Amino acid sequence: MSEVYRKWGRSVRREGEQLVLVDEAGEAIESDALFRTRALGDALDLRSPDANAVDGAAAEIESIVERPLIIERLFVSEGAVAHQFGDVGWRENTRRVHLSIARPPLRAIFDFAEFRFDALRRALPALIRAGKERKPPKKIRVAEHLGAALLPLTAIAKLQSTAPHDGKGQAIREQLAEHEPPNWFRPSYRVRPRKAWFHLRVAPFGAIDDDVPEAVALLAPVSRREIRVLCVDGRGAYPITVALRPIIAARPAATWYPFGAGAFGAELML
Amino acid sequence: MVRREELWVRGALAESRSSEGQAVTSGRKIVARDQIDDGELAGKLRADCDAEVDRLRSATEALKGARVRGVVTAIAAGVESTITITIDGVSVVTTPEEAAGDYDALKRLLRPPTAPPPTRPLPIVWRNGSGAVLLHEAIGHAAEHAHSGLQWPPWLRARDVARDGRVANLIDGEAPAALRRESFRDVPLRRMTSLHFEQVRAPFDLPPERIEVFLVSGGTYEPLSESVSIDVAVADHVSGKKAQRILPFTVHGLRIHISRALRGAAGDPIRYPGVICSREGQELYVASHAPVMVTAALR
Repeated sequence: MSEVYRKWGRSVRREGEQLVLVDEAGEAIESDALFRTRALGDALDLRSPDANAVDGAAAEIESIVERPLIIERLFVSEGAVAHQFGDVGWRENTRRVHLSIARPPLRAIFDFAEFRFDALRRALPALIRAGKERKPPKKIRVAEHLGAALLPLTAIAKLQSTAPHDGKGQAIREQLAEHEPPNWFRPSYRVRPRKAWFHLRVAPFGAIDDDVPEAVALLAPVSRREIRVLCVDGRGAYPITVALRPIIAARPAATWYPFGAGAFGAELML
Repeated sequence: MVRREELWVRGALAESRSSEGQAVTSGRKIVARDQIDDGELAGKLRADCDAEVDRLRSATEALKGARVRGVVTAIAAGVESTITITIDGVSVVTTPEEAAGDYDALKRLLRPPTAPPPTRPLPIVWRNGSGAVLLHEAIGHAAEHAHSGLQWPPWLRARDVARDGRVANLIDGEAPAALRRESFRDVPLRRMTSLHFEQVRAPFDLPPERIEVFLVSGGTYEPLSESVSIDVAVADHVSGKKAQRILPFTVHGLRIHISRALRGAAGDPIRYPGVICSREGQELYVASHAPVMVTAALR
């Protein structure tokens, strides 16, 4: 038996200085052994993404990044998407921001799903004054956008949050994220869907000590073994590499971030 | 642009993708969509692409023991096809003309490692054109990023040749001439196309104890620190007449250290079977050629 998925999308993205408008539709047909995709060459009445909002968000980022910082990579996008899987159809609007801000040899990376840049405003002054690498402090808390990046990789109790549709049109139900995920993640019609936990959020536990040093930016993509982060300790700021130790406290936040199949912000103390 | 991609696993088709579209650039704006306005051009590109896919299938149908990914892209300037052949997690990237030979060569090269990499750094002999990957990172990407030139050995030549024949002398700091993109959705970037590293009267002394590299699985250039990493997939530890296949390992070095570590080279450039270069999420094939090269120990 074959499963048929179709997707129609319109997007606007700022990539560096360029503004890219993309209009496309595609189909994925999956049987037991074979996965096929093709362009549909088909138009659907989709909302036009707001190019001015995208350009405005990029301009706002550029205004925040002051010398000696360099914008190494800037992707800001907005999209309108319609999906169809079998008889089920649904639509969504997306915003994404991916940034890499350098003060050589350091590079801070940020991913957001909103055009709000409070985390950037907090982190970049620390990047400007960052000193040499130090040993990690005994305890460290990580800002909510870093916690969201860590959530898919950490072995703490976390919940999948409710949402109307996964990549095969099924409802996503709230449940403890453990064992095999029941839902399918399909970031593009061109890739095979895979099982994943959606919209992870942490259950609060312990007490976060607001006086311990705070990691405010990722300096490298997270891995299962360690994180390399920019740490702020009073007026001091420095890079550290921390082995992924047990998490001793967690405080959930409401902002959603585009890591994996989605994760909500989480302040964590390690 | 019309593109077809197929993945064959042990002789069975597992994945098939086709796409087509156009991008129109006006100032800083690129308008891309999955239809080609010029119907005649679209028909020609589809026909060219399909013919090349047939040729690619013919060239790979006998490679039953491997995982084979073929990608054919047709644009107005011509057709490009690449084939990635993977056996036991080790890959080569090739063309329909070279696929059978490269498959046989890959099978001959694969044998189980019998030793870990030596604990102390040793000189490296880059065989099979693999030195092109080291220099792709250390010279090619540095040129893409307009990083300042270094003092490379006077016997070394480094050229990138675009599809239209334009040549960039990378040692002189010239950036690759071509703007390339993976798909119609992507922003074109200044990227390497076909790298030719050559030696002119280079010294060449084979160290009695050395590592000999045959295949690499990846390489990266970190533009902020100007450092290079090369993941070596197939290599031998050679000591006198004894050669032992060693486990995969990674070579790291600053670009300047690599320029100082080049000790010599011999012979004509050898086509290295495969570099898929990824930058800004866009994967492109870069043809690569280098003579047998010797570097001092790199950690």
